[in-house]
Amino acid sequence: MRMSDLADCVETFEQTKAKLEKLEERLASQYGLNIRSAVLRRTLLEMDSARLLADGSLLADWQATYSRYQSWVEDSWSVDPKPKPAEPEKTEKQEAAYAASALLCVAVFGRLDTVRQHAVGPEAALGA
Amino acid sequence: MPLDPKQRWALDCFYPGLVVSTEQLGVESFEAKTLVIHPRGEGIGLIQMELKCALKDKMQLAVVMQLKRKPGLPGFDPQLTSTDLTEWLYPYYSLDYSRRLSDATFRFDLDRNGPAHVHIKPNVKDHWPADQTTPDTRGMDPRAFVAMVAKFRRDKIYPVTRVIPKRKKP
Repeated sequence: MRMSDLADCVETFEQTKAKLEKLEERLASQYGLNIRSAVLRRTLLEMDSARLLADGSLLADWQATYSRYQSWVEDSWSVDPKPKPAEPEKTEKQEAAYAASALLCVAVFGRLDTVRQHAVGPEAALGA
Repeated sequence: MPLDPKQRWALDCFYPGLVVSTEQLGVESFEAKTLVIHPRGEGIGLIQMELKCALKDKMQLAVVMQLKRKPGLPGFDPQLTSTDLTEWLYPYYSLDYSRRLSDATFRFDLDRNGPAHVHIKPNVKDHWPADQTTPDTRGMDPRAFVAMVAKFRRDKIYPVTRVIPKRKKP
């Protein structure tokens, strides 16, 4: 098998990212999460850690695609000795606050679809 | 549906004998899955292989292996017919034998969001640490997994047991 024979199997970073975001949108829709994409991934990772996502092919596809995405990220960091974060620090905190508030809603109300109704903004969650 | 030819090439190259031993379980059809490759230089830096099939008795077998070339090594030349598995990392795998994915008979997983774990009886929904089982399923070769499935189907003896860590005395 030559590399040129495998051309249709080659996945670029942009393709991995697009697939990952599409899967995350589907998971968000399934769990009634109405939060922006930058926060969504962290929320889903937290929910996965807390075993709040049901087993199935969608979850398995998302985990495999997230792993490939992380592989791209690792490779890009190993090329650049001093990589800069893609987003400013404040945004990172905001993402954490959004994710925390979403999980809090799940814990308090026990229903994932209440996240949309009760999730608070980052400023409130940060106590600003 | 037959196995995708490029999946077949990859599985034969990385795990010779895996497809044949799977077919011996009594495959009704394979699921269409596209091989995924990330390039590194002129070769392969990451490869995701999938072997998913329905068996004639309505059980399912699914093997998903993601292999990443170790840092510092050149990309794998696909013109080679075999590879040294020690030159690869395993960031993700899923070895599943079930009636359906959400209700595994037993499944061994590793993903980026936690340590290797297993789904085994009596509670297959639970994530039990893979290093607390007999046998230790961490990084299991998919050929060993298929052999385990074959033995279970033949002998009906559940192949994985939990090892409860001993409590330390105060």
